[in-house]
Amino acid sequence: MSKLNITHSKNHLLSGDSAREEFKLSYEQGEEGGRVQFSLVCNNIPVGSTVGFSADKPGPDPPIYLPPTLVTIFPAFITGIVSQILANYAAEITYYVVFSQTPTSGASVEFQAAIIAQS
Amino acid sequence: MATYNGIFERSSLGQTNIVPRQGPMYTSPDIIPFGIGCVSDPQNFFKSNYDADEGRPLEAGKTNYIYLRGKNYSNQKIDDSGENRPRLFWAKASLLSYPSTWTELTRSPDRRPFSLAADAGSIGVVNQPFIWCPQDISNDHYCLIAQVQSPGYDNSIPDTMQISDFAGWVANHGGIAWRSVDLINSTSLTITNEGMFYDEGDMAAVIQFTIKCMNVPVGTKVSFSAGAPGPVPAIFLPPVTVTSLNFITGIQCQVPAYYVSSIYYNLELPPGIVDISTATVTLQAAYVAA
Repeated sequence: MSKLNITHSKNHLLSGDSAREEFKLSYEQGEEGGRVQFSLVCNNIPVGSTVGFSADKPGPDPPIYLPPTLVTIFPAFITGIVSQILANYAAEITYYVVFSQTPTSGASVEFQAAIIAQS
Repeated sequence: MATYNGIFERSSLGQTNIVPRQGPMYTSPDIIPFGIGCVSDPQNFFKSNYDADEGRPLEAGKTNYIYLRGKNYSNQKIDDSGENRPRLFWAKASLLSYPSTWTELTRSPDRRPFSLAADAGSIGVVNQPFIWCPQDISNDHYCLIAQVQSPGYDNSIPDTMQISDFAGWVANHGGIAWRSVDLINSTSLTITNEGMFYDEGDMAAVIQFTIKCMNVPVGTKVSFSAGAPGPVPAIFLPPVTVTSLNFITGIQCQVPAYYVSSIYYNLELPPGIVDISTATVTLQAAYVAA
């Protein structure tokens, strides 16, 4: 079993008022580089919607970039990438949801940056 | 005509416990091929859907699940386990009459034996699904044969080279079921493997199950599943298309204490791609640290 040590996270309730909802998160790696899992945890987001994210600064290998990815599971779906991050890396990460249809109440998206540790 | 007062396997919907059964024998709704998906609570799900055929196509080259159920027409509980456990075999249709060519499905998600219990007058469902990874087939098709024991009835498979009247033999045995399998052949390189044997330990928890795909070609479809019942929702990730070379995807489930199950993943590569020598796939189960 692994332990997900979440270093950054932001959760948003989604109204679905607009077809695309976009958010930003300021990411700071700190003094120690390492492997980081960036993920979007989607709850009650309609199947067929698209999610993705990208950072505005280069450096990580591979870059912090999730191309548009289809939500295929309802109600809970996780997608993301794993990247090697250098010490002191900082960037603004933009993440988004493009709805395939208006979500039901309770729809949310959470952006997580986490270090995976063995417990 | 006689009544079968044991756990009865139907050959079609609407049947009651009369043997020999009438009509086609190869369409049993009590053998339930369920494809690469699984359900959280098969006991409740397949009992409440007894009047429906929940069978789905299987997918070649992938880990598929097959459930089994039956209705107990006796006046006592029947608990099939141990030597009397329910058994399931696959065979090519062309070889159905030759029992020595049948292959028993023995792999279970939690690596424990299969069992099927049904109270008097009630429907019983196998305790966990059978696992099967069928290969592509052409100019033939697969069949499944189930054997469910009941006290006072002989449902043993004949110890002969050939069953001369296979359909007649099925029709006369209330504990034998037969189903032709609808199989989707693969159209590209397809890989399945046990990625993890999961053990929850003594504390229930919300767990993130993710599959990490490094250098797996973009366009590949990944999925995973754990057949042992219990988690809510079931640990089943339907096919998700890989969109980057360092991709993760997954689901979040409430997992009960002491839950154990093999978790299998499936990869279906884009057509034409056969070299995945630099690709790695890792299943990960993680709880969120407080």
